[in-house]
Amino acid sequence: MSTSPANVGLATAGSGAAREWLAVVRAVTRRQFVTLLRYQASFWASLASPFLSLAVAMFLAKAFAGAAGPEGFAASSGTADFRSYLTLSVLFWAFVESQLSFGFGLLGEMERGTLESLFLTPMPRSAYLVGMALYSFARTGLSVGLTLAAGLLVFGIEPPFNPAWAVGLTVLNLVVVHGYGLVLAAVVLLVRSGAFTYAWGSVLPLLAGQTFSVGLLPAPLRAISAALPLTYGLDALRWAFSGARPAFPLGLEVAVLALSAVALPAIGLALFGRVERIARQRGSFGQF
Amino acid sequence: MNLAAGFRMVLALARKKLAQELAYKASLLMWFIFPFLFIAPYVYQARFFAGPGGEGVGAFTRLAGTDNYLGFIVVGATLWYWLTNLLWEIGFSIRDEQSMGTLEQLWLTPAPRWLLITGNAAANTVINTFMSLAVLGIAHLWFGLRLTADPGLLALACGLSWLALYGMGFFYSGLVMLLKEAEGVVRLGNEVVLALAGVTYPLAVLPGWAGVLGKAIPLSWALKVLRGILLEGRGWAALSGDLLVLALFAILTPAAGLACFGALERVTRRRGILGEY
Repeated sequence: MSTSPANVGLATAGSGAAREWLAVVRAVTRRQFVTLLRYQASFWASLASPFLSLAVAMFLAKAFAGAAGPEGFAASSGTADFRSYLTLSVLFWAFVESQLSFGFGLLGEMERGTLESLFLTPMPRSAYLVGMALYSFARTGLSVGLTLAAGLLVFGIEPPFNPAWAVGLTVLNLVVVHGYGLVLAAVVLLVRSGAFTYAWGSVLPLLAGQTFSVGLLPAPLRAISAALPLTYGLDALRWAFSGARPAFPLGLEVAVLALSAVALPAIGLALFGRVERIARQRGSFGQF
Repeated sequence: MNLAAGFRMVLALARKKLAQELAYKASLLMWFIFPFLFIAPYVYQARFFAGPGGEGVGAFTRLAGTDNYLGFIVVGATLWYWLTNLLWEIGFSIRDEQSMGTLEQLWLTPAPRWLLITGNAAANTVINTFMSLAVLGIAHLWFGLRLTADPGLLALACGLSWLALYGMGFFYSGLVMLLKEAEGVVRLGNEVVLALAGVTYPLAVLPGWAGVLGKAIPLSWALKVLRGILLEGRGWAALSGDLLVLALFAILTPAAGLACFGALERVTRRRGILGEY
């Protein structure tokens, strides 16, 4: 590309827009953290929650582990490393829940009557969504980091079974989880209620096998489970971290995960844009 | 306020709350389906860790005193869910009144404040009873859960557990009023109780210090007695010691809860933040 005055002007305008976009992301993230810190009990609850969930899962596992170790778990999963299996499952779920609650943030704006004011500002919608997602990931990352540190001390967690795959699959899974968040946020905006997200969040640990293999589920539930990208992502992650036998062929799990990482965020963004247009036409931004 | 007037007030509050709940049919369904959705993953995790040939069941039996891990988890998680519903209900009823700006007016009426809280708890008892029966019924159909009971002993154990658990509600009410936060307080409290009270696993699996804390929670004693009755078919003589401890909790927890509620309410009023949110 030549460096004509026109191109330099375009580049300057482009970098200005990028700066503005980043400023919106920063402002949205900061606002969310200021609100979180305003409610101390909720803040401490959000920090402690993953560790307490991990403790419950670990102690339940220990109740089935005799002097010879976790024989039942080893027979079910093909590995004796139940600590990595459960730690990964519970911590990954903290990210899933953070993205599920993404829509509740929108609902809060609707109920307080601030969503209309927010969407009337000239901020790019993508910057708002990225800011909200960044906040969710940062907040969850903080509690997950603390849980990992505490988990190492209390339960003694093993290093990943396959570190390279563990990193790659974690990144792909986080992208998929964010895609889920966008789709559910669009649903909240459309139906103006958090009931669907709440119901989905309640049934998902059972369907995706939060702390067990979905192979244990009855056939009808297994069929639904097999239609969820999260099932494959979580199962592949557990293999990478603990060496547990996957419920589906590993190649299939990775392929579904990679495809979902491309498709779900794109579908989520497109859906959110479409629903926002519908909400503008209906004039339903302020309704709940 | 005399006893009859107090009773009428509790009844009126309970009817108001039940009418509100019945007006939202979808939410009503949630009361009965969601507890099962909460419990089922724990049962599947237990099955997964028990192993395909029951390799881990022996270890569980040595710690829990029963090999019926399905019943152990379902009874534990159902009662925990009962407590959770109660604390959400009581916590949010105070918080909602604060948010709507009606708490100060309500507090200015001549009705004793503990009775205002008991009204919501009464409605919650009706809903929770149906919820528990529905969960046990679904668990029977889904997992093949089987329970046994001496009706008289079960009624006594449920009554004592009710008093012990609802006593915790008074303490929570005061805390929510003072901190002006219901969600964080209740969520944190519920998760700590879930981890320490032996809801899905026996207390013996906890480290020493955590086991001591667990035994200080009324729910763990309610669970010990109810599991003894429902899973092992134990009688009066076998459970007399545990029933005595539960009876002590049934007296002490409401008394301590009311004292805490009174103290926290006084602090809230001194600060002039009763109506703030």
